Amino acid sequence: MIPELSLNILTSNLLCSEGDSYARQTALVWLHVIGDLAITLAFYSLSVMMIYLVRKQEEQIFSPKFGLLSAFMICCGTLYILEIWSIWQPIYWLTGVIKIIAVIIFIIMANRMLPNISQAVSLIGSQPLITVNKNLDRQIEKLKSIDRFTHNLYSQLETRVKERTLELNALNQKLTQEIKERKHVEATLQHQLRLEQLISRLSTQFINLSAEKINNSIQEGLQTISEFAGVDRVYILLFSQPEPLMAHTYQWSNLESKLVIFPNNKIELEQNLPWIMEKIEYKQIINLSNIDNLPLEASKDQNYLQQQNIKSILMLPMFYGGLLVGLLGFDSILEERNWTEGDIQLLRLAGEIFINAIERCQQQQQLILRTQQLENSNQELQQFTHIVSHDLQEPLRAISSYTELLEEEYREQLDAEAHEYIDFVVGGAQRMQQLIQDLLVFSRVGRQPQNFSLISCEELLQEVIANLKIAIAENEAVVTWDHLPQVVADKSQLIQLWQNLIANSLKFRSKESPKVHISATTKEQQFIFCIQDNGIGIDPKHSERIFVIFQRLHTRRAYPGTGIGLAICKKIVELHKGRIWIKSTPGAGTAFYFSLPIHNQQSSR
Amino acid sequence: MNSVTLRPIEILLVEDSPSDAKLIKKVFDRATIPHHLEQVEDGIEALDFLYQQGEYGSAPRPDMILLDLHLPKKDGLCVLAEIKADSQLSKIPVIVLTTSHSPKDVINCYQMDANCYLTKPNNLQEFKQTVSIIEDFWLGFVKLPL
Repeated sequence: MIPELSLNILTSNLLCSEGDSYARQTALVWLHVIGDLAITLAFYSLSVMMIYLVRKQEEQIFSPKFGLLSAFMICCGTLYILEIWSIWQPIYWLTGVIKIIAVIIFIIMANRMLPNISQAVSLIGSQPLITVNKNLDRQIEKLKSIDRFTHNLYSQLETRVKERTLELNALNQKLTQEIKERKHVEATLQHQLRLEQLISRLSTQFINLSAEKINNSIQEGLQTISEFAGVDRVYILLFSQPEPLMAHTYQWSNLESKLVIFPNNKIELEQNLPWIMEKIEYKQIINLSNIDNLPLEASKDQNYLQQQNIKSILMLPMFYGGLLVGLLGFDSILEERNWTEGDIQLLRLAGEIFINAIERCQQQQQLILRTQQLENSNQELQQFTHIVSHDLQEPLRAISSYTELLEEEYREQLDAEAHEYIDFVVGGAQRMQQLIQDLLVFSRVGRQPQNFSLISCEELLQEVIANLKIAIAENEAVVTWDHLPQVVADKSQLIQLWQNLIANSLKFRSKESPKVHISATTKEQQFIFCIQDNGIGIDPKHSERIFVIFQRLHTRRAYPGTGIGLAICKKIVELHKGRIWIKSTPGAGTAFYFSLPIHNQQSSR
Repeated sequence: MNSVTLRPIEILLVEDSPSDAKLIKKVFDRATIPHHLEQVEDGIEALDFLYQQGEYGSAPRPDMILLDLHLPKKDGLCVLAEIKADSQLSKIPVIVLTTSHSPKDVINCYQMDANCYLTKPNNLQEFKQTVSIIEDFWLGFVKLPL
């Protein structure tokens, strides 16, 4: 049908050769014009309709061919328009070109349509068409079932996607929560670490702090913890013993202009903060994030704190040796603050460090004071012994010497009884002189600083024997000794010790001539020295008493002496960190023992 | 024996205790060697005597000094130090005669060039013995500077 139409258009091509011939006949012209316009409209509308239909059907297979057909019809329509134009203004070149274009389009289209024409011709029979239709219906049905299946699948997929999305969302939420928690834990750990570092730094700083630096260091320490915790004010109030005055108040605040000083007096503090101070006395922590939440009975405390613009308060009691010695705390002045476990921990640890340092410094100062007092009393004692040694001896010397002079110069004028009196005076004065001398030695032993050196006991003993030469000779005594070790000791004191012990053995001799033997053994890092004699011996029940000053077991007539010699021995041994004791049976001699520690220096020899 | 001196030996006794001073004088009186003993009672007087100052303007230069340590006004150790610091006086032998048995005093005196340290005896017999030793040794045996 379509090729026929296009042929028609070609054959009915309006040739312009006779153009002018009918231009003068108006009716004819209008007939042509209207006819041409109608045909143009017909072509244009046909082509538009075709494009519309083709588009709507979305027939992919035919579209290029229909495109060509439409183009061909537009060309034809245009030719009729130009025909009208040519009646008055011939433009044959243009019409010619368009005719050629139309012919080219037609040739291309015919070329493409040839196979379709044969197909179309073969479709003309109704039976095949019905078959084709049925086939198509089946295919459509098939396609529809496929479509339903696909749709089903799609909706299933959609459900699953929705479910999965929900699951993912839940997981995501959980993860976010976990990340949040982890971050929180990490932050807590970080805080804990920083806290530990701070505490360790403070401990190191305070552990060996000298008393002069304590105040400054506490001030700096307060600043450090205040900055660490980010609080407006931190303070320490120390109660002095005895109360009521505060021994010391330390505070640090980042708000210099709003600095408030607590009363320097515990009574005043108890008046202003009765509720809080009672809690502190009962060793409780005051943890208030909002002062307004204080109970009714704490209205006085509340007023006082509000006057100072304090919004939140954290206060801890401080203890030393189980006693309440003060308190320390944080204030928040600019804004309310919820005190954390970390804040409490920081305050508690810092408080421990501060109070330990403070107490240690106080003890140090007390020790210095005590030492000073001891030195003073030692000085006084020295003066006293000096007085004793000089001023007491002089009158005694006058008594004895002038009594003797009296006896000498007035011998003839005195009777026997007067001579006896004189003897008593002289004897008494001399005994007193001896007593003073011994007392001086005794006091000097404890007072004078010891001068330790390595001493050979054998050499020392020879010196002692030389000092006792006269007494040994008079008593016809024999002093023998085994190999003796070297000891670290004060030489002059050791000489005094040996001398007193050997002299003791000579003094308390029996009827036999005295035999003194000296030996030494080693026991548990100690040298044990033994001075064995064959003297009168001592009843074991007196073995402690003999070392006590002024204790005498015998009458002065039998054995003269002051009763200081062995007390001096005990003192010397104890000053050398040793011990002195005896083993004795009356009538069978005495063994004096004393121990001296073995110094490492000696044992290595 | 030293060559017999034409003049008596001059001895300065620095002693604040009258009883001790009298006793020493008494014992010295019995000595065989001719001597002249002057006593002063404190450290200031002792130095005045030695420097011939004040009331001691015509005091003789002593051949020997017997010096007690515990003296009023000026301590015996200070007196000793001044004597030994003076080029003229340092030649005079100084015998410290004191009650003190303190090892510290003994060391201090010898460190300050005391010529001898003696403790005061406790009775008459020992006093006599001590003085006779001084007499024999210091006044008889020892060659003293002129």
